[in-house]
Amino acid sequence: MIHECLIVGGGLAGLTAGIRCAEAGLKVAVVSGGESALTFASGSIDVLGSIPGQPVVRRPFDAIDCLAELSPGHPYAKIGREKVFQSLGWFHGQMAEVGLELGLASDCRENQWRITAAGSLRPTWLSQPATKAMPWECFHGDGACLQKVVFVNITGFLDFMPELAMCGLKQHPSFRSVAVEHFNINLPLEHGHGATADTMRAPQLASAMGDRDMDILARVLSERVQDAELVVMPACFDPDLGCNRLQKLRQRTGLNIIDIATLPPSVHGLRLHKALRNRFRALGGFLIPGTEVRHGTVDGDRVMSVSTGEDLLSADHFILASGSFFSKGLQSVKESMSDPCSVQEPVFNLDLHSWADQPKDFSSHQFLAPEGQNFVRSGVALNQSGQPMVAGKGLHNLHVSGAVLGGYDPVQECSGGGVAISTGWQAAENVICQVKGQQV
Amino acid sequence: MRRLEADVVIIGGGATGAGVFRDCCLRGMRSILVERNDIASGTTGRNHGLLHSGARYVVTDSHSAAECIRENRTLKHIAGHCIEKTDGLFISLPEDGLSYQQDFINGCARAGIPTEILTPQQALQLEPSVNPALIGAVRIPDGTIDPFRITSANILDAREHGGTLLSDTKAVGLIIRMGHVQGIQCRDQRTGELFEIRARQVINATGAWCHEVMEYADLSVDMYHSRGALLIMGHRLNGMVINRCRKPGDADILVPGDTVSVIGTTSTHVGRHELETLEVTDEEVRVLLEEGSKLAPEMMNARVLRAYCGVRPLVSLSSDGSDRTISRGLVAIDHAESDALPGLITITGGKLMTYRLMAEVATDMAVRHLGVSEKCSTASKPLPGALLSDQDKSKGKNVQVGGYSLADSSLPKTVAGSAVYRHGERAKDFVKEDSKWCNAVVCECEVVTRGEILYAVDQLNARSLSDLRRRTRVGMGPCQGEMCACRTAGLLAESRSDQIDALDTLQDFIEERWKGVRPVLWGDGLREAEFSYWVQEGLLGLGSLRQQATCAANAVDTTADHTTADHTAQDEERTA
Amino acid sequence: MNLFSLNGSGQNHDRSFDRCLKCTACSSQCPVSLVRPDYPGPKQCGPDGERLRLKSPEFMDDALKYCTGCKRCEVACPSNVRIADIIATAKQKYGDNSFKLREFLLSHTDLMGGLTRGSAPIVNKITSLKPTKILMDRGLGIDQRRSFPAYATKSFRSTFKSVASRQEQHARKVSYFHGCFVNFNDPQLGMDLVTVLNAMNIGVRLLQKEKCCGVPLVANGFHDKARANAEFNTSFCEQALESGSERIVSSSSSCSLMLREDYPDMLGVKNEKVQSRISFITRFLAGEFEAGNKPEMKPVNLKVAYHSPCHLIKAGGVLHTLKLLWDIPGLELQQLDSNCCGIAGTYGFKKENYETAQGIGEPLFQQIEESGCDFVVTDCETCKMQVEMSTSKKVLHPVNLLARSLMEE
Repeated sequence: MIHECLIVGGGLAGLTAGIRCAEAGLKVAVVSGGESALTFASGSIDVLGSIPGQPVVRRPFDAIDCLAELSPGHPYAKIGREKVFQSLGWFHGQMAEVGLELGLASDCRENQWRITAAGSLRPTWLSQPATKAMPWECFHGDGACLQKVVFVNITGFLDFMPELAMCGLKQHPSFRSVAVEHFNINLPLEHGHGATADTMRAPQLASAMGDRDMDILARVLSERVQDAELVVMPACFDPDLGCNRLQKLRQRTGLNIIDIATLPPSVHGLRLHKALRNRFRALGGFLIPGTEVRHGTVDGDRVMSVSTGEDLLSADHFILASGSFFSKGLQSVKESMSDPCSVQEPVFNLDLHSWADQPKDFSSHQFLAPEGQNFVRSGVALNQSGQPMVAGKGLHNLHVSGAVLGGYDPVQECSGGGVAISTGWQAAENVICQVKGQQV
Repeated sequence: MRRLEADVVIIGGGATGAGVFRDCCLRGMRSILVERNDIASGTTGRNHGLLHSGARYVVTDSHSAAECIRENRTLKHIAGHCIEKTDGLFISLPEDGLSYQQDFINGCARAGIPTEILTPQQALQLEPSVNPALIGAVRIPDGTIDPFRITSANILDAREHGGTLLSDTKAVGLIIRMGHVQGIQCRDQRTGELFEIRARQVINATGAWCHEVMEYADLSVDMYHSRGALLIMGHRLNGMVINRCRKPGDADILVPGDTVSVIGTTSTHVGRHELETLEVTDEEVRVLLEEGSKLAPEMMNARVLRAYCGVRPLVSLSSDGSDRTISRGLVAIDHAESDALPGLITITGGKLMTYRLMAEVATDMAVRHLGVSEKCSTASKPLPGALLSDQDKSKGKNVQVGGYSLADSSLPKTVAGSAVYRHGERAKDFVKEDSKWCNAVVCECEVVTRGEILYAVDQLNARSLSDLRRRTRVGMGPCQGEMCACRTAGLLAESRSDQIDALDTLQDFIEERWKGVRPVLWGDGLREAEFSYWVQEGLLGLGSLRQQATCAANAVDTTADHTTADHTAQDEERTA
Repeated sequence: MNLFSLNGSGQNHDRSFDRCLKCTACSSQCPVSLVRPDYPGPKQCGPDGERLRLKSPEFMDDALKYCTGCKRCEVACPSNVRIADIIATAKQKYGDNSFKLREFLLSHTDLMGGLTRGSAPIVNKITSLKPTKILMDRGLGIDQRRSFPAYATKSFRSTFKSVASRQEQHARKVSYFHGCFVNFNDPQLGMDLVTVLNAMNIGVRLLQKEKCCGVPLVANGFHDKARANAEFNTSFCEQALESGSERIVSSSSSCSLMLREDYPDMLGVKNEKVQSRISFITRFLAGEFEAGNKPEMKPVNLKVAYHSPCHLIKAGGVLHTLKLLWDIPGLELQQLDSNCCGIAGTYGFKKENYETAQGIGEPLFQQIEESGCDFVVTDCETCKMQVEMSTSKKVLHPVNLLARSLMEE
């Protein structure tokens, strides 16, 4: 095998690591089996929005120090504030290289708000291109900067629930004095082969829409929306990276239209995935789909190869970005009915975050619990030098990134994207450093 | 205080209460049914969904067995759309031996239950999922029954015959004047309003909770609360009911029901104060899976969707330890006779299978007091939805729904077929070929359409997502409502019913689903839960919404007047 | 006892649908449902539908016919649900299996190829004539805009005879399942394969007899015929291995997936004696290269764009092809973003599917035109037909490229 670096997992963390390696001139390939969680991602990049027992985080990078103190095992704690910032800034630039201009707040160390399809407000750091930044002041405290918001859906489309979102938004203190309205626009769906919006998922809706549909949208929006500062629509316009349709719609109507992620699959998430793939390939990386890694061979402190069960893949360095339970990067196994369920990392059987020091349940009594779910905190533990371990022994040429790592709650903290990117970047940096070191 | 009047008021909206409600209405009595939660939300909705042939009881309780087979035949006639005539097997495994089989067959003969003795090969051919180690099998006329559907159909018929259903209404006291029960005091669980229903007869059909109503009149009954845990598997493993041919024990019945299979049960005595806080234990899950997979080994590989438990309302007639020796027979008490308290009838004990018979017995008691001469017709008159003949059902092609045949329908067979499967000929009320938005599939696992959801809200009194689940199966599939719950909540929000807070009901639904998932949280079930968590909390922020609301509620205290004014303004906007 | 390894009651029906998380990854990657939103997509037709069909076969939805069997849904699935197989099996079990002439003609590739033997130039001429195309369009529903693959004047099996005798001088031998396309349409690919293997000191034999692997038969509902072919081919594979061949190789990604995986999984034909020794050619070659058996290669100064065929992705074979291409000196290799070309075997030939097929392939054609490559490289014969018909580029098989790198200038 001629690879310097082989990356297991083609999600956000794996592709980020791949892009960084390829950019540094390494020969790198990403192998993946199954689509990643990007399929249903919001497309925004959350860095840090919440720390237990503290108010919502406004300046995510500054908050990392505090987070590191509270939970020293957190992946951010290992990387450190400035490197997290550096990696995310780099990521922003990489996406721009392939035409995906992710939006920053005017102060680039600040969070902005993402409106969800249920009308919740989530702090996030980078927003999708057409989603103009919703600055922090906008929805913090009582001082809403808006008078009127209008939700607009495509008639029949089920995966965007404007009336529900309206209920949700109204619960937020800063929306109490904001008028929230809603209407639907019926579209003929030019390329829909007669199918109607109610049978479609967002990506299908996007490809069923034609120029005629965009004309109707522009006309109806101009007619019906006069005084709203914000028009919220489902993300079902552009599969392409430039978000040209929505940009054009904004120009034609003069309205501040944002499109937000629908129920899965998410056009925003798929777009982000495409941008990552394009960038990786443009830098000379190779993507090998349909290849699920099942085992790894370890000799001493080195990984020798990984195997798909049929093929052995060898490389000098490996990055494990295999995701969490959903992606089978982690497995919960019950050996027999009388045994309690145990968590394993199936490829290398890496050491996991120990539960001994936090005697909490695997799951919370409540599903949408304020304290989060502990099972999402499961994952690989790293030693002092940031290495993964097998039976306490650090591995030299294996680097771990993304959701397979333990010690953090991507959902409750609003940190999934940031952790994937910064740990992917860090893993790549480690590889680059080792490769360059050998060359010297 | 608001006051309603009726001839009969029935407390409890389980199968029995619903059956009494229908019976009373069909006999021309003005009836009101009060249910503190939703129909079929107690014991009725927490069992196997087994249409007993009675064979399970032939050795231990031949009286119950005979009751069962009679009702089995009746229900097949009156409730076709709630029933699948799957037949069942009683299998003997090597460790059971064949000695019980002979007693069993003799018992069946005594009770009038037809049997057919099969060789292991014949049994395997009929039911390929059955444990291939079996040494013998007997075929009996077991079937499956959907408890939600049959309760709903009874309620629907009662309402179409003038009955009034008050769900989310708790009976909080009996009105007793001059030694007569003359009605009940109720509380609307949503608004908190207290009101009275005056009636000449009160029928207590609260099953496992019947002692609570009796206590309002200082009466007591010796209830033996036996809790049974069950597991729902991810898909339909077996085509026929599979029973173990031995003395009744844990996890000895595997019932196919709609798209799933259910294994159960266990049996543990619980105190009356534990009735509201039942959770399935790890030990129960272990027993159910281990024992269950002896019936059908494939169970070990299949995903467990959820675990739940129900409470059997057994009436203790002796103080023997185990509940399986207590009769499953019905207990009807006319308190006029037993306690010199006219106006109150209690019907309890029994089981889902005999709900109609229980209703008939209780209603017969009531008509005697009320001087009504009308005879019971519930055993012969099909329920709404059950008018299609078997032949129509099995040859979906010939089913005429609302004047058009499914064969000619341009609708996908999954859509039209599921509607007819669940609602029989009543599917015509919402399957409409020309109304395109109605046929949109909201729940893809169970093929529930927008039209079916709206029908259940309009016609079947569904007021929450959980109510909708019981009437349509929305959210009952492998993903447990991961996406369809949100879609359905969106539809509810759209319907702008004042009685439904779409966000509240969505959050409640998600938590209710979680209760069943948590005891079986491993493997693919855990992966599913993680995925749901990412979508519902990560993507949609439903949990943080609750926290936002709490913040908002706190803020409201200081600016209460202002908020109210705003709210009104908003309502006007909406109406405009 | 391990709960998750215990075998069921010995039934061979597929229960992988039970693992479906309803995550929609498959639907988001389905090339058909993106272009034809009236196709409900793999999730609803596959695992969702299967739960209903278990309840009663009446729940069989006609929309399953839109599935092309590309298996991208299976590649997308994070739970290893065999979605496309579930759909194909359901079509067979519950679908309309009445005889249709067009499906018969399109799917019996070995029969059709055999009939043209000796008359290829005439047949090619006729099938490319406008009146013929209109006739096939109107009469059979084979789209007139589609160009038919040209039949070769001499089949591969006849051509091979000239080199057959010198194969035995190599100590090591493999047997080559050439398939219908190489035999009747592209004998050069077969000959290139012989050249490459001979250069690595490996002799090539043909199976004593072979029939169509069955991919087009399954796609067109001729499961019984496919099963018969599967048994036929498997027995000749067994015979070849018994008589000293160390492998069965195939230069078609779809044939090899069929021979190896779908015979047992979809058709229920047991092939465990040969299964592990059937390889797609690039997998075999990459293994040899890695073990040190690499022929001497000259620089091939070309810019090529690699398109990975759906069935090769599914078989996990992209890696091997890439490994080979990386090893060709001078080759400037660009990997195209993975996208189905749309033809899906015989699917794209049918009139009602033409627009869909071209719509599916459009993003790929665009990428190819924009790539500025000299050639497109791909492993699949129907992808080759589709790309050559729909773009300005010629298409090579990786083996063609390897042969070029060996050939004397």
